[in-house]
Amino acid sequence: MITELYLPPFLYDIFKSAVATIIAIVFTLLNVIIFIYAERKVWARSMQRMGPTYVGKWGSLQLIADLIKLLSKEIIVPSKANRVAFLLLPILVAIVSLMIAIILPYDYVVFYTLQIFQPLIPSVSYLTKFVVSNSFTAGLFIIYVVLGLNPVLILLTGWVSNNKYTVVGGFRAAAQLLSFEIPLLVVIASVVVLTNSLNLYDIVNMQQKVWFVIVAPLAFILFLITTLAEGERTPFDIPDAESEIIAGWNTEYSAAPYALLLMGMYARAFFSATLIAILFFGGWLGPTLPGFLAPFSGPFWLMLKTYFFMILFIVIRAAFPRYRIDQLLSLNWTKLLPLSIVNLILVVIAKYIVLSLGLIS
Amino acid sequence: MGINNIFQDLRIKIVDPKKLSFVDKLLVWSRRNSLWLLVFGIKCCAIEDLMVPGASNYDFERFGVLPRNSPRQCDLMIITGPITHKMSQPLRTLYEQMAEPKYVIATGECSICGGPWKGMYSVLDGADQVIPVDVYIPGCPPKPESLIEGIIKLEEKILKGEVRRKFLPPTGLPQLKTDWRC
Amino acid sequence: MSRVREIFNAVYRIIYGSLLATYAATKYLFLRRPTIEYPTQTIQFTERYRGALEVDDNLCVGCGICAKVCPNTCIFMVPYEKGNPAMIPEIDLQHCMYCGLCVDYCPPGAIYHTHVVKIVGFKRSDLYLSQEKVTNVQELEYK
Repeated sequence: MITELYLPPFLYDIFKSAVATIIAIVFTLLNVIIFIYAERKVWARSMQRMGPTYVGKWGSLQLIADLIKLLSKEIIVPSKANRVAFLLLPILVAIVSLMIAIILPYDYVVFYTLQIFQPLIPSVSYLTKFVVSNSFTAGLFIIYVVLGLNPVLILLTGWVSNNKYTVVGGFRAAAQLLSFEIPLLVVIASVVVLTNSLNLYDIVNMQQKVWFVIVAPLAFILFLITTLAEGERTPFDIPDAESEIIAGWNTEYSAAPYALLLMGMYARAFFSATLIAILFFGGWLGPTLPGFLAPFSGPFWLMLKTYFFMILFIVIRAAFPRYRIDQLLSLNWTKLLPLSIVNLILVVIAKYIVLSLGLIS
Repeated sequence: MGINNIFQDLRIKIVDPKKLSFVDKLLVWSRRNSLWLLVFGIKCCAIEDLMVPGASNYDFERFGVLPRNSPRQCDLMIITGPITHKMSQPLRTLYEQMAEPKYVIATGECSICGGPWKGMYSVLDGADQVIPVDVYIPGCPPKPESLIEGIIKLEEKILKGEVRRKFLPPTGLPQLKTDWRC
Repeated sequence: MSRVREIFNAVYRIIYGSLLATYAATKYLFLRRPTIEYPTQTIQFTERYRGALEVDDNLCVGCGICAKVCPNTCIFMVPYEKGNPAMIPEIDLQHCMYCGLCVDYCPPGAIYHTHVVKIVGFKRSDLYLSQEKVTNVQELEYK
């Protein structure tokens, strides 16, 4: 095993970031598969159906079969579409979505889970130095800068397909995502007001004594609603409303490009679940697990909270009907935006109270 | 009998599924187990025969059959109801919009042969006059068990490699009747 | 004051409605599922369920009434064996709409519905029940 790497500092940094990036992306892809499988199972159960059962035990290999089939199918490029842009945009959407995986503490989750084997292989502890996600001083800011590229890419995806349904879906997506970014960023600002930091690790460590969901409950509710809209989840899945515009902005995509688009959409929803856990529910903070599982307790609590919100997203999809586009925009501009500004004022008041009680430092 | 004969020559027939290479086995396995469904529901069978197996009593998502809306993302088209001359053009368009490999199931007597409307001025003699059909399920309407049996039979057919056709014939599909007006 | 009450009612309705919907969706996650897992489980058909038609060649007198009453003309009378003047029905299942008129009209009750729903064809000719097939529909195997 490697115990020490004798490399010049800049090469060492590049090596470190590359390892962490690959680990984070693989972890995200694995979780996207778990997310889609959980969605199909839970959604089926909420309709009293079985969901996939025949492929593997409890249908666990269903998503693998879907993935192989999608990758092996014929890629159709419509004759009226711009060929280069049509094939390039799904890759861009996937890259933009996966870039966020590096900032979120997934490398922390993987490397600290491996610490369970420290009694057997002592050199595993060296891996904790490979965590790079704690070095982003403005991590929360970068996440929303990268997510801000998404409306443009989605609008272009609809535009280059040159189909009326994709264009309508692209316009809807652009209108929805751009307008919902404003209350979302105001809510994020309220969290930043509480912590004075944009680093996700600082934000979690500020919640040692009290979770921010107790300090700012309104912020949590607004964040939940706006992230659902940003991730195009039901009840805000207007851009790919199946009963109105066939499949929205990804109508013309088949096979592998469609798999990339689908992966991007579910990755964004998964990142939203992790962000809720980090910003409002204390991230990896929780009671330490007993015995040899002690180094696993941080990742365990983080992923438990993440999966809880993942399941909540799916249950919300099963429970709620879809908004109309005009209802959605009026909800945003007349209700969520004023509420988010009220929330900002409330958080400033709450911060003084919490500071005087000594709950955050 | 219809258009199926044109495709007969193009089918790659693998007699023994055990002789497939590993990659082919993986492909066949994945194609069998994730048939995404495009519903081409024309008449009453669409409610009686296609919605019931999708609902909780006979849930065809157990086999990985997932209804999708865009034909680009679908593998399996289920046709119900009689194909009129006017409807034959949308049917052919939707079939050509699906990505290869693609499979077609015709359910109910109307889509197999025209049913009670057979011989009428506006009704075609079955869906296989327009597009190739892989599995025929008789009934009026078929029981939901029949449709699931049809999907299982289609999976067996995919396993044998009988429906692994790649391209349309170079001459193209036969011309449709355009003067459907009477 | 009524304006305040209106806003309060609206907020109450939103919260109550969302919680109710989420509860309803969550409740169904834990209820028993009524799914019949078809290839391993089957339901009990009702006694008079109209499945595929079968002909009992011991009872059939070859009168041909079934072929005459069939609204879709899917029943054809053919000689029972070669050189035999007696006739027996053959059924084209691709036309049959399971109306049951032939069963009602058959004088000796030789043609009747079975509970077979498994008949599936890869070709149209698979659905034509010749006299060997139509006399034992229940044992048919389609490969």
